[in-house]
Order: sequence, then structure tokens, then C-alpha cells
Amino acid sequence: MREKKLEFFTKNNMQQKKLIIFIIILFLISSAYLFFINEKHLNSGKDWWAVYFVEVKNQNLDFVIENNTDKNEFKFEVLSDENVLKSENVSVFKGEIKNIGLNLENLGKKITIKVYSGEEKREIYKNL
Amino acid sequence: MIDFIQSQLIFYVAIAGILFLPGYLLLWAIFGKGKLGSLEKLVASFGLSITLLNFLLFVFSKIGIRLTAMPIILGIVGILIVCGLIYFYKNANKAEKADDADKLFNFSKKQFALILIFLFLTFLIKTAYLSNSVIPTATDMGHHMYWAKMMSLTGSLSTYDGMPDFIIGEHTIFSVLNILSGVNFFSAFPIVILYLVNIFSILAVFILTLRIFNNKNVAILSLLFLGIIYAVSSPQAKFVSGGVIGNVLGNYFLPIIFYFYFRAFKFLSNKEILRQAQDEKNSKAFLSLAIFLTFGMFYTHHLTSFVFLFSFLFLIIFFLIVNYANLEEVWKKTWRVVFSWEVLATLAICLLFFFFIFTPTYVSGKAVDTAVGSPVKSTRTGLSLENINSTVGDPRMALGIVGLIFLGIFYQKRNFGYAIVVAWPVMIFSMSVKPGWLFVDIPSNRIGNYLTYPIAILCAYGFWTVFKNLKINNLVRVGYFLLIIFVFSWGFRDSATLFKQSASSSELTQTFEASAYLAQSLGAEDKILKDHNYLTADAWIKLFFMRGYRFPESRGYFKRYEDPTNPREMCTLYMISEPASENGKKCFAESGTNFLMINPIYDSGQFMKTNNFDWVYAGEKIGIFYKK
Repeated sequence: MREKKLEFFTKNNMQQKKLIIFIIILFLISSAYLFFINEKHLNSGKDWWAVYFVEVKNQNLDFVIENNTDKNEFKFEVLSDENVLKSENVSVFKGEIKNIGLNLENLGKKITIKVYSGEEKREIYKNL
Repeated sequence: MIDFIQSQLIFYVAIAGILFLPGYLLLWAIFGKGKLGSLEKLVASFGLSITLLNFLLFVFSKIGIRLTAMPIILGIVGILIVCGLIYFYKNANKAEKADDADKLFNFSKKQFALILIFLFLTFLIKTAYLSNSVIPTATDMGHHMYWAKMMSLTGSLSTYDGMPDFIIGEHTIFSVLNILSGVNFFSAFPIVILYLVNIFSILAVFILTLRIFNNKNVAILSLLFLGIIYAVSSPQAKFVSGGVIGNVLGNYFLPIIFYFYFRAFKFLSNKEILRQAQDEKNSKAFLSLAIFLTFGMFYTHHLTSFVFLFSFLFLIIFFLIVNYANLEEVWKKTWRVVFSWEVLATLAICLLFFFFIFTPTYVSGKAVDTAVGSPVKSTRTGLSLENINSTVGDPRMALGIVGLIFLGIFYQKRNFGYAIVVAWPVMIFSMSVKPGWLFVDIPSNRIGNYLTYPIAILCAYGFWTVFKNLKINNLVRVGYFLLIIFVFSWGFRDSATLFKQSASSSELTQTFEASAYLAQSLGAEDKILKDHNYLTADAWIKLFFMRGYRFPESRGYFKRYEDPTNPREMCTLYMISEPASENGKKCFAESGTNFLMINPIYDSGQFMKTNNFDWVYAGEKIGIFYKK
């Protein structure tokens, strides 16, 4: 009788263990998949470009073009008030962060940097 | 790839070590191997581990130990060793004893296959939904992860700047897993953990149903009604992706706590007094664990605790009324368990922790006043039946009511579990429909969401009763069958409509990269205001700065500035919407705000019109302005 009970217990417990293993496997697969999808979105889901000053608080006008798109050709203009001081084409490849140094004189009150990529435009400026 | 696999391995080892092992060994120490099924141990160990972990952290915090990896590991190992020693001391010379109730877990091949299929579908539907919303955008999740990260950085428990809406248990597991495994808060980790909690809440309902009805089919059906149908809608996968941590955890704690209370008072079903000393001992242990888990819940979510206290009180009253003729017998049976030294000692220790070691922030007169009283606001005066039906799902509600009627017909008044299955949904229903009767002053829809779990049990019971009870005539069966078809189609349709397009990871990464840029440029005196209306994942921005929950300040939803019942400060609105106005200038002067993060498509024009701002960062969906 006692042995029968033990046998029942073992068989019963095996079924539960199979169930637990099944749950663990499903969880591990789901979890790993979600981690993978999240990483994929964060790393390769970028499709944008941005322009920003290297230093925010001073009068340094060096700026950065950060490109996460497939377009590589950019054009930038530097304007002092309404006058174009400099205009140049630059290549920035996907994933690249290009630092562009400016050494300009006779600056007006407001320096604007306009960057073009195809039909898109970004603009940053500083009031000096 | 190797890094990914390595980080995954460490993460899962940390989950096993923190969220399962302590509770599992505690159950071993108390019951040995035989009293609970392996599945029950696994499901219960999750909540017990969380509670043990919290209590451990409270002790560390009280005696001034910094919450870093080494003390936490040593503390956990200490718990494991103590539990292991108790187990070997108590059980070293005992032969393994099978528990009669474990027959419950001996499924037929068909039943076992059905369980596997239901579990597979549960995981499949939820994973499919979450894969669309796994990227860290949810506002609530952002808020919670800030506090979890703050705990990781400071090595101390958060005080939440006195805010009662955050509770320590919502953040400890995330923080500890981050500390031990190094897993990134911006990864899928928070959602994966909530997903795990959600799955275990379904399993908790499964074992509770199995124990109460002593019927495998009803339990298997509960998997169907909770796991598969309405798998996505609130409070399930939708709450997981939304980071509604307290509710998700609460929906695990409620059934598992009821499970332990049921097992503690299961002996009331028997007419004779407790048969053996061992049964009495087990009841005391179950009750002690129920109390321990109840306090674990108190440390995790206030609303769930509130719902539980009302439901539990009603449960006791209901059970006593139903057993009015046998009150003397009930008292004779229960007093030896309730007033045993094990139970009283557990209660005393929990109370000691609650009032003297670590008291949750919501335990204050102000918070109680906020939640208790006659409701006035329209959102708190109760849901209409239509609202309730849309919360739970029309057909599921109908099926649940049918289940409740059948439960009434076949009611076993001595069965404490039946009282649980009645009291739990009835009280939640009353709290959400007629809160004024109970002096409940909490948003009614938040309470209504709790109906889902007990209703699923009633659905399962009703389903099984109709199809297996030969006394019911065929016409009723056909009508019921049509209702079931309706439930299935509605439930799956409900899930399907909630499947959404993936939030734009491109917009998300713009927000994060701009935040990282600003974090580099920021001085100690700088202050930021960001916009909540048009920026993606703006609640996560604060994790880049870690300078306070309200850093950066936020322009909230526009309607909030117009809510006459809740007048609020207007500066966060003025400084973005009309920066050049007198109000705007005054606000800038008073607050010292000098950085603004906005979506340039909607909010750049007003800044470009004045000479007071530099536009220093320009992306497609995010721009940063600097006020000199």
C-alpha cells in the first residue's frame, strides 16, 4: 500500500515537473524574443538625422550632424542674421556623427545653421 | 551575440535566485516535499520570495546596510541556508509522504494535453502583443523605473518624496535584479518581469480553482477564460506593456493569498474536528503564510490591499452568516488555529515590520482620507453596469453571472473556498458600482479592473456545471452554448483590436539621444521643462538625469490645466505655450528653467519669435531650446 502511494506520488509529480519545465521553456523563449526585439528596435530602428551644437552655453558655433538615415549627402549654410557666411556640402554616412568646426569672423547678432538633406531641413541658432 | 547570451543567462539566474528560490525553500522548510504539489510550490514561491526579499531589504535599510550586490546576495544565501537547515532538521528521518490532495494534480492525458495547449496559446498571444509594445515608451513604466534606478544608484530604499502613489514593493524586484544582473532599465527587462507576474497570476488562479472546486476541469477552464480569452485587455498584457506594476502584482497576490487562506480554513468543510495533529499544524502554517503574503501585498500595492481588505471582511461576514447555525462549531474549530503561537508570532512580526521597520508611504492620515469617504468626483461615484460590462467584457460578465447563479444553486456552505469565489467578485462589483455605500473614494474604473480574475473563475465553474450536470435541460444547454460562442468570439476580437502597431522606435531613439546629449551639457544649476503632449517616451527622460522625480518638469496634458476640480500651477503650460508672454517670463524668472525639450513640429514657432532662446538641438521629432 505504502509503495503504491509512493509510486502514485512519483508519477503525479513527474507530470507537474513536465508542466513546470514547459512553463519555464515558454517563458525563456518569450523573454529572449522580447529582449531581442527590443534591442533590434533600439539599435536598428533609427531613421532620423539631427543637428546640434557641440557646446550649448557659450558662443562656440561648432556643430554636429548625426545621421541615422540611408541618405549620405548633406548641405549646410551658416547665416549671420540674414547673410550667408558659408555654404558647404558634406557626406555623413549612416551611423556617423560628424563634427563640423566653424571659425568665422564679423558675426552678427544671430548665427543660424541650416542643414539640408533632400527635402528635409533642420535649423539651429545662437543669439550672440 | 555572446554578450547577449551571457547577459541573458545572468538575468535568468538572478530571477531564479531572487524570485523563486527563497520562497521555494521556505515552503520546503515548512511543509517538506509532500504537502504542496510542485506546481503549487513554484507559483507560491514567487510571492513568498518577493515578500522575503522586501523584508530583507527593510532590515538592511533599518540597520544602515547599503543595498548593493554583496549584502543582497549574502542575505538571500542566508535565507536559503536557514530554510535548508530547517528542512533537513525536520525531515531528515521522515519518509516522503504523499498528500491525498495531490491526486488533484494527476491529470488524464487529455487534460494534460489541454493544459499544455492553453498555456502555449496564453504565451503565444501575450508575446505577440508585447512584441509590438516592448520598447520603453509607457509613461507609468518610466515613472516606476526612475524609482527602481534611484534605488540601484543610491543603495537605499526610496522615500518617494512623500508621494503616496508609489509603493516600495513595486520597485524592489526591479532594482535588485538590476543590481545583481546589471540588466539595463531600457531593455525589455521591466516588461519581461511584469509578463512573468501576469503568467503567475493566471497560474495562481489555476491552483486556487483546483483546490476550491476539487475539479481539474474547472481549473483547466479557468486557464482558458483568464489566459487565452481576453489575454490582452486590461488588466493583463495591456497593463504589462503599460507598466501598471501595482495592479499586475496585485492580481497575482490576491489569488495566491486567497489560496493560502483557503488552505488554512479548508478543514471547515469537514464535519469533524481536525483529524490529526498534522492537519492542525498545516492549517497554522498555511494561515501564517497567508498573513505573511498579505503584508507582502501591503508593501506592494495600496489599491489591491484596499480591495483585498474589503473583500476579506465581506468574506468573513458572508461565511459566518451562511454558517450561522454552526457558529459554535466554526469557532471551536478555528480558534486553535487562529490563536496559535505560529500565527500570532507571524502577525506580530509583520506588524512590527509594518509600523516600526518600514512603513509604506501611503500609510498616512492624508492618504486614508483620500481613499475613504463619500465620493464626489464623477470618476469616483461608481461605474454604470454598461461601464462594468465594457471593463470586464459583456459576454464574460454574463457568463460570470451565470456561474454565480450556479454556484448559488450548488453552494457548499461549509466550503470556505466557495465563500471566497462569491465574496471576492461581489465585493469588487459593489465597490465599483456603488462606492458611496462603502465610503470608497477611489476612481471606480480602477477597482472595476479587479473583477476580471474572479469572474474568470465563475465563468469556468458555470461552463463546467452546465455541460456536465445532467439535471439541466437541453434548451438551457443550447442557450448556454450560444453564450459561450459569443464569449469566445468577443474575447478574441477584443484582444485582436488591442493589437497595435509598434510604437515608433525611431521617435523613441530621438528622445533618448537628445536626452543623453542634454545630460552631458547640463550644469548643476540648470533646469529643464519637457512636453508630455507631443514627445514620445518623455516619462523616461528623467532616467538620463536622475536628479529627482520631477526633473525635468513637464507640461502635462492640456485638459489638466482646465480641470476646475483640480486647479494646478500654470507655469509649465505658459513656459512652453507662450514663452514670450508676461506669464511666461515671470515663470522663467521664478523657476530658473533654462532648457526646453519640445516637439519642433508643434512648439518651435513661439520660441523662434523671440531672441531669448537658442535652438541648440534639432531633430525631426525633438528640439531643445536654451534660455540664456
